[in-house]
Amino acid sequence: MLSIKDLYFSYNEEPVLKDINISFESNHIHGIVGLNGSGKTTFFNVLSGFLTPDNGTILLNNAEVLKKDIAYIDAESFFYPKLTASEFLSVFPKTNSNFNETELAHIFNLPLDEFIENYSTGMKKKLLILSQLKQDKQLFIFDEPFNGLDIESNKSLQYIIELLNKKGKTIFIASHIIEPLFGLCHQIHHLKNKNFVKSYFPNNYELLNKEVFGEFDEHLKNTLSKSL
Amino acid sequence: MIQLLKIRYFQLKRDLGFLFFVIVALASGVSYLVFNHQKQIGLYAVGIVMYLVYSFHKNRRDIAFITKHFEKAKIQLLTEYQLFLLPVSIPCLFTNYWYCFFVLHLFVLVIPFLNIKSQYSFKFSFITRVFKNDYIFISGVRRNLISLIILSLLALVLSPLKLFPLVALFLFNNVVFSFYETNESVQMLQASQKSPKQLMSSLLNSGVKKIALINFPILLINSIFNPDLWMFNMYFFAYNVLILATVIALKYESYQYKNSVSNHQIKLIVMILGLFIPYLFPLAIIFYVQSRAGAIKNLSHYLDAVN
Repeated sequence: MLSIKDLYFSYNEEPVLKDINISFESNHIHGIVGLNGSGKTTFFNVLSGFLTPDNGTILLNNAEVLKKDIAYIDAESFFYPKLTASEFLSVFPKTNSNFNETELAHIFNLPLDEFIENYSTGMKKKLLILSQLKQDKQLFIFDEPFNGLDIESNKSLQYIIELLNKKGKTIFIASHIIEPLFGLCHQIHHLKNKNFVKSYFPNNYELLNKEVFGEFDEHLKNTLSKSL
Repeated sequence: MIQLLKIRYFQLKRDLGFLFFVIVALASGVSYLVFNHQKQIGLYAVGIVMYLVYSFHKNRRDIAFITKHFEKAKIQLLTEYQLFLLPVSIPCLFTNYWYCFFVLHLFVLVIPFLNIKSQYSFKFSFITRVFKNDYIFISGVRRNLISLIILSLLALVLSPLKLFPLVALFLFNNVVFSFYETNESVQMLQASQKSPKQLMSSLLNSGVKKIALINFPILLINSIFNPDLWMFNMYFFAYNVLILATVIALKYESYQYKNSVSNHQIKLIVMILGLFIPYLFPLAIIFYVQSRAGAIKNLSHYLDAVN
C-alpha cells in the first residue's frame, strides 16, 4: 500500500498539490488523469523524490520510499550525446535476471548500435523504458507513456505494463490519451484543483470521460463558437 | 544582415544597461594588465581567450536557429565575435604582445566556418572498450577526439620547452572539463546506485586518473628538461585537479532533471584565472567547498543518502 498523508507542495508559494490524503493499492495499475496543469507531473516528481513537499508523508508498505525502488519514465527525457543505445543500456545495472536486451530491442525495433541522437522521439521513449525494465524496481511511474509511440509499440508497452503488474509491481500512469488506461488500470484517479477528487473503478469508467473532460468540452465548444 | 547584432543590443540593453560599459572597461583593464604582466603570460591569455571563444561557439544552442532564419549567418556570427573580442584585443596593441591582436582576430575569423559540430558518425569502438560504461568520457572523447589528440601530441612534442607544453596541456584539460557541461538524465544518474557523496568521490577519482595519464608524463619530461619549473608543474597539476573537482561539483550543484545543460561558465572563468593570478586561489577553494556542499544537497533529491 502506498499511503500519502497531508501532502502539500507549493511552487513560489503557490500551492500545486494541496492536502492530499490518499492510499494506492500495491500491485495495482493506477491511472492518473487530469487536465493540463492539474499537477500530474508534479505529483509524480514528488512521489519520485525529485521535489521535496512542504508537508506530508509518503510511505510504501509503511516504510519510506527509496529512490532506487522507483522507475521513472518521463514524458520527454534527454540522453547523453554521442552514445549508442547499447552504451546507454550498459550504464544500467542488470538486476532483473529475466531481462533479455537483444530480444526486447528486437520487439521494440531498436537498433542498438545506432547513436541515440539519430533515434525518433518514440524510439527514445522505448529505449528509456528498456533501461528501466533492466532493473528490478518496485514502483513504475509512466508519465505520458503513449505519446509518440506507433500502434505496435503502443501495444507492446501495454503488454509490458500488464506483465510488470503480474510480477507484482505497482504502476502509475499519467496520460492525456485515456482510452488505453481503460483496459489497463485497476483504478483511475482524477486530479483536479490540486487534489485527487475521485477514484474510478472499471465498472464506472464510462463516467470518467464525462466528469473529467465534460466541463472542459463544454467550455471549449462555447469559446470556439464565439471566437471563430 | 545585422539581425544578430540587433538581438545582442536588445539583450545587453535589457540585462546589463550601463553595466555593459563597466564590464567592457574592466575587461580591457584586465586584458592590459595580463598582456603587460612582467611574467610574460600573454601567450597563456591568448590560448585561454581562443579556447573560451571556441568553447562558446561550440556549445551555443542558437546556431541552428541563426543558420536557418538569418541571412549570411556565418558573416553575422563572425561580426559578433570580432566586435565582442575588441575590449580584450585592443589593449594588447599597447603591449609587447601587439601581434596577439591579429592572432586573436584571425582565429575568431575562422571559427564560424569551422564545422565544429561535425556530423561524423564514427563510433571508435575502442573508446567503449577503454572507458567501459563511463558515459561521460565515452561521449566526451568521441565528441572531442581530434582536439584531444592534437593537444596531447602538441603538449608531448613541446614538453621539453618552457611553458608552451603547459598551454597545450591546459587547453587539453579544459576540453576534458567541458565533458561535464552536459547533464545526464535522472535515470542515468540513479543507475550509479551511489549516494551523493559516493558519486562525487567516484567521479573525481575517475576524472583525476584520466587527466593524470596525459598530464604526468608531459609534466615529468618538462620538469626533467626544466628543473626550475618542477614546483610550478606540481602546482599546475594540483590546480587542474581542483578545477576538475569544482567543475564536477558545479555541475551537480545546478543539476536539474529537466535540464540537459549545466551552466557554470563565470565561476569556471574565475577558476581558470586563478591558475595565473594566485590571489584568486583562495576564491577557487571557496568555490569548490561551496559547490561540493551544494552538489551533495542537490543530489539528495535524486539519489538515496545510503546505498
